[in-house]
Amino acid sequence: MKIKVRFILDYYKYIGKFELNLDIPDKFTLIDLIDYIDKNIKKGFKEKLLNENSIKYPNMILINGRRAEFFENLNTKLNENDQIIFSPLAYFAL
Amino acid sequence: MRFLEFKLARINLSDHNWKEVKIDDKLLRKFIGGRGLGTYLALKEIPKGIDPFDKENKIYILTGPLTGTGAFETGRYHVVGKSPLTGFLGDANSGGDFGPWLRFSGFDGLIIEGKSDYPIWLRIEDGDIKFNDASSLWGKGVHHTEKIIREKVKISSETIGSILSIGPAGENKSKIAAIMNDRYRAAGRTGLGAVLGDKKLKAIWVYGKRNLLKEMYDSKKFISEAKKLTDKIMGNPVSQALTQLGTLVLMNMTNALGGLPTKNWTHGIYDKAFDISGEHLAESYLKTRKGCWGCTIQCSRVTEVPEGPYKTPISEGPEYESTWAHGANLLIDDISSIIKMNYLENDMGFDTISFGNTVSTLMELYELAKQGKLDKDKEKELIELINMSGIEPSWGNKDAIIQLIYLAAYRNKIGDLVAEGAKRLAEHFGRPDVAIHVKGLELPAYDPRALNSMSLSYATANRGGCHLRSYSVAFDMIGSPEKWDPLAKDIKKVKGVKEQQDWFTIVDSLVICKFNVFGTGPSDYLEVLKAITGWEDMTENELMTTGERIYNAERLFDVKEGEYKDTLPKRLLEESLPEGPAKGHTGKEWLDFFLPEYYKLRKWDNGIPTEEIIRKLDLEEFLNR
Repeated sequence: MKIKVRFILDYYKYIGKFELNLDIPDKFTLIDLIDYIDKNIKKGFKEKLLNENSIKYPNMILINGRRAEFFENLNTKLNENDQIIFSPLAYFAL
Repeated sequence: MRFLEFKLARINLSDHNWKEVKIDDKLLRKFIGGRGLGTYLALKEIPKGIDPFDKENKIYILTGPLTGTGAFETGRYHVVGKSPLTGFLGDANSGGDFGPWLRFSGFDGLIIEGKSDYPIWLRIEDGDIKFNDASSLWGKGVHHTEKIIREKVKISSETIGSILSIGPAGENKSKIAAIMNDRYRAAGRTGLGAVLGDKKLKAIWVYGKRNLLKEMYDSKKFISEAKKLTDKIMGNPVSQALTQLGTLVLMNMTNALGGLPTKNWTHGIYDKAFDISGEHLAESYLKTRKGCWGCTIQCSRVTEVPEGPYKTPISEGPEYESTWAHGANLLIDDISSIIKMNYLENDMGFDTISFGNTVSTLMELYELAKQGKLDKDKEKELIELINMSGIEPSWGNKDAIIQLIYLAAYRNKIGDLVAEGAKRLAEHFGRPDVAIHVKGLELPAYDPRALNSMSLSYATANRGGCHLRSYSVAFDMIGSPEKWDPLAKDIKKVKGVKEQQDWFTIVDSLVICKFNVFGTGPSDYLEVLKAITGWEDMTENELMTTGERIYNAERLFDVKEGEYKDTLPKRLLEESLPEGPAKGHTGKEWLDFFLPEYYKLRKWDNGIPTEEIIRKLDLEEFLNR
């Protein structure tokens, strides 16, 4: 299935791209996607993002504009056309 | 050791005289300075119900006890007066260098009153004030005005001394005119630049050698406490993010949450948000960073468009709000053109948030006219004015906007109505629903349908549609200081908004930057404040009660000035977002849930402070204003 992945601020610099269109297997969860990016796109991605099996502070993952914590966290099942965003938490402007 | 002496200059423009006014220590402690002191003085001195262009209206340009002390990002000042845009108490805050240099010049604030018969500029140096003829400056932009004044005072370095001025927008009493300083900094909101224009005050130069450290109650303690504060602020990841990308860090995130107002607030997602984001600016037109006086965060962007149709010299900005107002809001994805618009609006002296919103209102009205959806006589009037102006204000038309900046600044053709702001423009053409404002003040860049606590923040902001009375986006979007689900009906959000409103009131009264308070709270400022003022028995609780007092005092001014309603614009109340995570939600759904609890917590009767809370906050003298 096809999904869209976006990288903001530190992750934009780290990956070198703002947006990737990925074709991933059905039944992929968020943690599967992180493993996939770590293996196929940027080695070290998982370590930068996660602390064992939780999202490391200060990072944030959005699935279709909603924080992963508001779903099943890293075990959230992904669906066709989902948009996933990886971002540091340190966003603030007035 | 002695108590801080807070000294203002009362400047009468009618007879070109001035006198010194000392603020009593007890009064200062009750209202702190900046926004708080300005509110108190406005309640005492501005007669109820006057026209904002009456000579009895006043402009208070005030610093706070922390301004210019070096206690981290204390380079700001606050302006208060009756707003010609809203008709209520207006106030605005600006960074740069003006606040500190005003204090160094020998004055902690200025009370501007009366009206001059001809344009003047003030030269304030080392405790003295000179009135100068500004006829030759009238009509000139902010950049040119500053250049000429620096030639007159013979100080060319922009780091020595500072200038506050208005552009042609203020001179021509545009109701969305800003008070500018240091060329790119704006006390932008609520149109107070028009009041200075009405009073014929073109500019103020400030310079002096006053040593604030020598006047402190305990300067040794101050140095030690200020260092602790600086270490805490700079250790916060938010400070580091702001240094990296400035306020534009927000563009992609707000868009991801479905809360980036697009096409005059008809959508919450802009498919080209990346093209106007901080990430894109950093790899295109960004030259370097700059900070206000004494600040090491340096959130301001210095940009240059070296060539092409939107060629712009090295200048500051644009900030997130300005970029959004001219980008997603108008369907413009070319950031070079937005840099140009920002530069020109600073030069003409406009509030960029209000200007962008007023242009989106015009674009929607023009679209409706072309579709035959305005009353026939209004449609004819609008099309005629647009044709006479020689522009095509359709969505995404960058060149039309650039022409509109000049047309509005000089109140020419369609620009005469644009200069009135979104509310009056939409009302003039019989479609008030097209203007997105609260209490007459155009809204900034967060859609409250997607970030639901902002529905309460906007609706109850005393000065109107504002994100700086309570920035609950911090909770809803980034989870700080506490993580909130932006779409949850959670009653604890009401307390969070109320407490942030009270605390931010203190921030504007101290006068410090709101970027400081990310990761710091009232307790972090107490010892610094005590060291400066000598208020040794002050507690965190007293500081927060003072914030609540000032917030209520502002409202006491407002509720006596006409119909004053805590609500959202019709579109945000009734129309749901068509896409994204907040699809299907309306503002009414959120506001109806939050507002009754908020009134209960504030002890307000349908938005009006009760006698009980007025007495509790020691505001009895204004009970019968």
